Amino acid sequence: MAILTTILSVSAISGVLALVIILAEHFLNNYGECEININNGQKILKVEGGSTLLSSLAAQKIFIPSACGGKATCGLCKVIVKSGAGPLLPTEEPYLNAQQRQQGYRMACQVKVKGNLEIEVPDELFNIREFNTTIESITQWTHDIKGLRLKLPPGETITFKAGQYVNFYSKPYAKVKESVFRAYSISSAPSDNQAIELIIRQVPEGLCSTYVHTMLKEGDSVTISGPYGEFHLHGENRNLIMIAGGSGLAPIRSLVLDILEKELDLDMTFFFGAVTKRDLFNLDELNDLQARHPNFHFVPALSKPLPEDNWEGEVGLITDVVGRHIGSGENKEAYLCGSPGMINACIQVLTKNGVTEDRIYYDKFA
Amino acid sequence: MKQSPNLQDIQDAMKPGSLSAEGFLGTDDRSLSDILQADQQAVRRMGVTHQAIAAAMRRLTETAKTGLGKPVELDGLYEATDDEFMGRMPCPFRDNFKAEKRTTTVRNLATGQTMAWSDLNIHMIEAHGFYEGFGSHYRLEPAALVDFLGGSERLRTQS
Repeated sequence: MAILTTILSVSAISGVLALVIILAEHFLNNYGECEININNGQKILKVEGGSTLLSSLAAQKIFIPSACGGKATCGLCKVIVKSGAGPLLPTEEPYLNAQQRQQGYRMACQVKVKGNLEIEVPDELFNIREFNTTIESITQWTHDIKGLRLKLPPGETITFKAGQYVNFYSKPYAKVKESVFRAYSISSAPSDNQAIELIIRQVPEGLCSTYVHTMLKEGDSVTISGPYGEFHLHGENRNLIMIAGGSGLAPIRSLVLDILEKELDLDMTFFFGAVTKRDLFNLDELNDLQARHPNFHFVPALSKPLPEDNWEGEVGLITDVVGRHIGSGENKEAYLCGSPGMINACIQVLTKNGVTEDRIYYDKFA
Repeated sequence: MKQSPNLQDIQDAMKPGSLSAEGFLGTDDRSLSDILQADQQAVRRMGVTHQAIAAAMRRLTETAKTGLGKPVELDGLYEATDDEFMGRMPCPFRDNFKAEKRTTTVRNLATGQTMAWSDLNIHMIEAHGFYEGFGSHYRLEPAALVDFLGGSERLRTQS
């Protein structure tokens, strides 16, 4: 009897504790409906609290730039939060300098909507749209790089500057249970506005790039949002040096096609670097552009060609090749897209040859 | 072995689909604290430290970086190649560290043996003594890694 009483007592206490935990979770984690006031009443959103500011705004079709899918690794999603955000988080600190903190900048991917918020965003963000595209074609460019052509729905068009990027949303697959998004530069010309093209390299263990390389098929639907980014022609009418490696070709191709279509009076030299020939691609198009346009010069370069590459082009690190060709950097500006290591090394060569740092633009991948 | 709620949260972040497609634990069914403890004991038995191992790995990675993808020789013993990718990877231990997405592939010139690691591997070994779980693609067995890097004596001398 005593044993039975003990068992019943312990069970009752456990049940009461479980009920307390459930009620606590319900009331403490339930933030209810929250209001987000954008630009002093320009837009007022009602959202369900509990999600990040980034995802809450995206759910309302207001897209804040982000390249990392909200993982606090890109630093792009800064917005001014005038009230309602709570204290600055350790995850935000590396991306906000003292002046930005004073101005009220916060990382939208880290701020959780727990109550009403007042925020400020640039007006141009309201032009960013979401598109439900269809995969029109997939091109296997190299062993680990694919090209995608995404067709917009009939009647829809996208307006972007050559060099900008879109956010690409993967779907759940295999062991990846949630959709993620990543930033990929548009590689097609802005005039081709009923579709966009992307160049995507498989990142080992990458959540989104693995989806693209292992799951995506022609005819599949894909959601994108955009355009985003400040990497575009700055219109200073100087001669252009363009440098890229691997999938860094994407924004450079868009820039080249745009400049040639518009017949801008600019002289372009594009250095495309790789280690061996198997990592170079799209050579036919680039060589053809060079043949047809006297103001476009294409310089592919390999740092360690294999004998079977039968390579007759430039040989050496891309920095060495650029150094050999650049001449004077006066009245030139440079557009770079590739790994941080490549970018840093190229900046050194360019500045050494007279291209000032304020005339060097880059999309650093990071 | 029961582990703290904090380690349990970290172990959950290491599962496939959270930070990477395959995660950091492979097919290992041990708890994270058991994995850490076992590798800690293995490293201690060899008379070296996680930090000495990480330092040797980092030296090879820094050498590889100068090649911009082209193999670079170090000390006449190794050839190291760097491959960089877009973006950064947050550390699953939630210490605010964000690793560049880089794979360093190193070949021992004498034996032809090859090993590869990421920048995140170096950080997780140095800061957390974590070599990933059994069956993980990026698992580095401490004993094999120490041997590849030249042995315990060499690591103690270099650190």
